[in-house]
Amino acid sequence: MGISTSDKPYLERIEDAKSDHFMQAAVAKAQDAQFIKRTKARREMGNWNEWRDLAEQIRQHVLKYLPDYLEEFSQNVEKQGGHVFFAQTEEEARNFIKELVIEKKAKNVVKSKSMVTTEIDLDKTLLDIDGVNLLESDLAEFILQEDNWDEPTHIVFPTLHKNRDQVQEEFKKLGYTGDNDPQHEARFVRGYLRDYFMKADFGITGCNFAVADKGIINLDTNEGNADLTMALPKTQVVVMGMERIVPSMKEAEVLDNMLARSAVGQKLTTYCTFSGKKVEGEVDGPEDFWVVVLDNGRSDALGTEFEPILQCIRCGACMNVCPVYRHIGGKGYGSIYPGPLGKVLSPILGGYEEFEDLPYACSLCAACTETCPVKIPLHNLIRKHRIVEMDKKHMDHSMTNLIMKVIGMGTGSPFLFQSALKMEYAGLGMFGKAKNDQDVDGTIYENGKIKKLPKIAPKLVKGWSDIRDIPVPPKSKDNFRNWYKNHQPVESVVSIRQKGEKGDE
Amino acid sequence: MSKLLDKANSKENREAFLNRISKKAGRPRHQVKEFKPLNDLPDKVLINKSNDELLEIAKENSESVNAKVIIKKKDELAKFLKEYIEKIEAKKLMLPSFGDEKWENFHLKEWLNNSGAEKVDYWTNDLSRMENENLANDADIAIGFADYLIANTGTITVTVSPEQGRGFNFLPTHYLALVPKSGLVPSTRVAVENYEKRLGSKELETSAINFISGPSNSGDIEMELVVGVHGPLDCTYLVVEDM
Repeated sequence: MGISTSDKPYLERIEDAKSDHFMQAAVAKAQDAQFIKRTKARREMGNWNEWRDLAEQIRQHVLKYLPDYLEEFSQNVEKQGGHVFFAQTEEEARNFIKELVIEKKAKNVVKSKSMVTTEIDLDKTLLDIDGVNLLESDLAEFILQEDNWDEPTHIVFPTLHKNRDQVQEEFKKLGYTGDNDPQHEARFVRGYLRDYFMKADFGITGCNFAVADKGIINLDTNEGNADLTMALPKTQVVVMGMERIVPSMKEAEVLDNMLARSAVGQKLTTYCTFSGKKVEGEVDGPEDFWVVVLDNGRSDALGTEFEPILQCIRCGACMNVCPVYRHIGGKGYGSIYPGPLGKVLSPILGGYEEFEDLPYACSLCAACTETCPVKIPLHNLIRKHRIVEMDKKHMDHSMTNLIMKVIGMGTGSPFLFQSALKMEYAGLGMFGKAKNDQDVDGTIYENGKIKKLPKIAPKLVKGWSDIRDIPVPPKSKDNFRNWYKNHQPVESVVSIRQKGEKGDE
Repeated sequence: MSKLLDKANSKENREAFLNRISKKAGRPRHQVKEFKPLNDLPDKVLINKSNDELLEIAKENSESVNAKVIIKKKDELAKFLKEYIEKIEAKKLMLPSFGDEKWENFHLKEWLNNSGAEKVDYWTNDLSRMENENLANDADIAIGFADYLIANTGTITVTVSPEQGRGFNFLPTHYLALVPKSGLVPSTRVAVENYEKRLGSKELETSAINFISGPSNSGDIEMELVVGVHGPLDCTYLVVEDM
């Protein structure tokens, strides 16, 4: 399945999303709440754009020297007695961790939230091993797991599409007898998961930033589950996208501040932890420390115009400002990476064939680019995907191609163009001339409007008319060219004010 | 089946991967230059504030993340802690196993024998990993030591040691950290620089540094803030004014 979250075609997913009014209201509420919190947190920081310059510089620097920093990091992990495995594909990463779980005879695996483990579909792989239990410990991920592995809808708020009543229903299956108060529901999970944590023998975490010069990782969370995952099990596996690296703790610290403010409007996440292999004499922490560095298609962006997407620090601010995300929510994208980030990253990781529609789920308003804390030119990259799909890969085999060709021929020939102008009123008018009292003369609807086109209409116009009315064009004699021909320019009155003369008061 | 596990830490695995991505990027390896930041914003955070001003800011920021800040002198600590333990009705107390000298510094040596709790356990490597974790999980409150209080973010920092482990800071129901006022710093940058120095000189050897800003929390259910999810339900910073 990889990063794909749905077998349904794009337009069907969008239809589903459009009918999910709870989700739309939840996304709108989240976007609005985050707008206030994020803006406040950034203002408090001061010089936000200069901070962005710095964050961008850090991310671009490590991408430029990525192999060198990964080498330094892996050597430092090794020095402390840890292990690093470089996985080119998701299968390699998955199988490696599966082998490790079997080798360690692990029984109770506990995970803290990690997009990259969702990307490699790790949970199901490990649960297929006989005698292995696995629990997601992040509250939202736990809710998704208990709801038969429902897919996340947001990278920071994975259960945005669920309400407290649905959560209550899920928890009842686990023995919860309380009401639908989120505080009570969360307290129930605390007890449920604590019992599991105490017997967990294998922990899996993601990684916000790997610190190259120390061979440690940096994790940002609010719940504290990642810290318990790094404390209690004797074995820890860190799964990291290969680009998630910084030279030293100083650069991690800059990005931690940017991340928390951008993701949730906090100055820092509640827990911001730098952690590595257990040191001699310490009581707990990972005695066995493993890091899996994953490529899985990321390197396809290296050295290309899409390289800036690897600057991403997964704050989710881009989806929190996206007008398209506001309407279709996370699931509409059909990728674990939704929103503007997903529109750029999904075709790179999952291929154009599977995600060719995503770059079009965008109005190119550039709100994402403006909010991105590491200055990824998101809307430009989305546009570049369209160029690749159309000009390089020639992926559009729909009627649109033919229509554009016909339009090209028509507008290229004065005779055909004139003929089209004569025909358009009659041609388009047959689809409806509904005109009502509001459609006053002088507006675009003065000749009436087309409310709906038949199903067989090409998607180029059908998609448009589904949500907007198309104005019926004027009759040939009233069109602009004829109107212009029949109106002589009015000579403008030139008035030159003399010195000292009073102007219009 | 070829064992993938054997490939971990192998030169072949690493070199093949790094050479491949280097080739894809079109940039040769081993060209890395030192990172030189284009501005010094992180160094300038709250730079001109006096210590008293920083403490005021720290207090405000800590409270905004639901941490309680209490400021006391060394001589007031024992009385305060005893009353605090009684107030929250904590029966089982967990303490770090630092030697007498550290407790004496905080004027708390006597208090250890009269803490106000019914049962006192220590996080220590004299006990097994499991024993420590079970005691911490069972404890009503942990009272430990923090290094720094960061004004700009309302954060305390804790390092893992044999005496005060990871589970100590995360498993007990309530959490209180003693932090000397001399550990008050303006920003995460200053704290990180201090740690880098101490790690570099080997004065500090630790597997984890925790930046903790208040009690654990989540907004995962309808974005409603819930305090106390996996870690402690509350978090108190006890700032020692005359240290």
